[in-house]
Amino acid sequence: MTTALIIEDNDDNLVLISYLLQREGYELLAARTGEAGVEMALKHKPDLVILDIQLPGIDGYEVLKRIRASEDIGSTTVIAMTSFAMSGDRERLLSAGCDGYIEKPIDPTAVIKQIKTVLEKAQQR
Amino acid sequence: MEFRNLKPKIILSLLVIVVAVLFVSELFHYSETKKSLSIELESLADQKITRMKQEYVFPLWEVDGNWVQQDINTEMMDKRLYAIAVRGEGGILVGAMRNKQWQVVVATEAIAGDFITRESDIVYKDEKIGSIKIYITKRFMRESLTYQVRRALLTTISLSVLMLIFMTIMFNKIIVNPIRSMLDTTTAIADGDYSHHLQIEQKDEVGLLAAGINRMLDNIRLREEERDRAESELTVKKAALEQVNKELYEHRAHLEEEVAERTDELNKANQQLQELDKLKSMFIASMSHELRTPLNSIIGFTGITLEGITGEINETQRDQLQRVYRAAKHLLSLINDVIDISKVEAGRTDVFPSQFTLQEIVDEAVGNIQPMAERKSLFLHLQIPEATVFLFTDRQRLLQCLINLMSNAVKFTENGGITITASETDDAVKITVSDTGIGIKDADLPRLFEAFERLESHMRIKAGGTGLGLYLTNKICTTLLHGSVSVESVPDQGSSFTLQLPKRLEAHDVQA
Repeated sequence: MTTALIIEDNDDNLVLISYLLQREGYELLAARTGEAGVEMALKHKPDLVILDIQLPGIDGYEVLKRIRASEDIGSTTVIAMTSFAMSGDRERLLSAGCDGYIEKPIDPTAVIKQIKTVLEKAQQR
Repeated sequence: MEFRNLKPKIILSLLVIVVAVLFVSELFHYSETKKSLSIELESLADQKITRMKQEYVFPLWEVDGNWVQQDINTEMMDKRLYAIAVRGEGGILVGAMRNKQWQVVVATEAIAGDFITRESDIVYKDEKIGSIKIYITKRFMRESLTYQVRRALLTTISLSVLMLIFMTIMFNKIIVNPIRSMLDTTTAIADGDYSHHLQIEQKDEVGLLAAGINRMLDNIRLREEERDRAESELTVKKAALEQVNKELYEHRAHLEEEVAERTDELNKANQQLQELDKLKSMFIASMSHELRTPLNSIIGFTGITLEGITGEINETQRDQLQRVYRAAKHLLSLINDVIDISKVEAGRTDVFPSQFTLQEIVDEAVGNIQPMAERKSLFLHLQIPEATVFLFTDRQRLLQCLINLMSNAVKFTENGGITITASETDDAVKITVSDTGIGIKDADLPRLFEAFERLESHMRIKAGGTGLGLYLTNKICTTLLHGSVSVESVPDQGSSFTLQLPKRLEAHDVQA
């Protein structure tokens, strides 16, 4: 069973991504703020973190930094999910330590494939 | 001797000459007189002796001593005769002479002194009967001469004095006074006073000189006047210039103040603008998020429903949901384009160059529009160099531009298809997207790259799109990728858009 932590403040997005991942058999955790997300990640040590960048309180970059800084969960696979959708966001996020990058709006059929590819790549490391 | 004045010098010289001339002439006159007096006395002597020697013949012959004595006495009335002595052979001795008081006395003593003498024999019938001797004194000749000398001296002196007076007057009048006044005038000229005018009416050299000085004075005065006029003009102009200068200076000072004020205002305005710009960017960023978040839900949930993931839907539901889905996608691309343009225009777009190949980027773009082209049964031809062409530029942006041009081509083409041609030079690539679509009228070409310029055509409604695609493509290509977009088109035959851009985006081209 793969455990995925979704850090997302928007209900609709949370419902959508949860729905898609649940159908694939993922065990799900969800947090609505960055702080709560980091806390949950430290506590449950998920296999995958799906991270929204624009969050109330600390933003996605800060969450990523804290996860990477931790000894316990530093190597967790993190996929950023943002509607910035601008050239540079992808590069910035990847260089900040993200394993993958999903653009909003989510393409329901493509998103699972994208997540799986990133996970496979991460396991090969 | 040295004279400080001209007059005595000249007058003295003239006087010397006059005196000398007069003296010489008097001397000549004296000697002439002396000579003529001598001749007169000599001729007197000759005359007397000639007469006496004839007249005394008979008295002597008859030995009439008394007659002779009487005649001698008569003769002696001429005081020039000093002595007469007559000697007769018959023993007569008659004579007369003068004493110291010049009285006639009987000749008693021998006669000595400087006299003109004449001696003659008295002859009767070739026989000497006596002799006669007369003595004529030079005394009166000397007196006459002395008198003459005195008179000449007097004449000389009085003439000299007269001449002196005359010459002085003349000199004063003709030379000295004019020269004096000329001297005064020239001294005044030397001292810078040009107000004099010489009143000399002579026609001689002095007059000419004075006239020359007057002419010179006139010229100088004329020049002085001109100079004064020029100077006063200059002064006026200088004053005016100073005034202008002052005004300029004040104006400049004022201007500097104004410039400083304006600069201040501009700085403030600039600051405000920067704040506004920041606000605008923040607004756009939040718009981007706030507008897209609900769209994400719409697109996401419509998407999974359409996919049938959540259960079967009927055809009507599918058709209607598809309309929702397309409208939401359109809205999303519109928002994305507006945000992109805002960012590019604000210079807030980061450029991220990376290395990739021409082939892969064209393939990706083609892959993107392929489904759409297939749905419209359009052909897709690629004419790309076989050799790998490496590019180092912003991949995402180039892809965006290519997809934009290709999807435009598909949108505006109903029959035929799309041809993508690429070529390279040493440092640039050229990618051309040609279609066999509706084309663009020449008149519409200039507006083609402007925002929200969707050309009037029957395709307009059908084609969809934001109307921002070409504008954004052009902006990205020129501003971010340092390339260019050009277009050629024949209405009803097709259009061909060409992207031209450097292979390598140098570090300094990339905006911070």
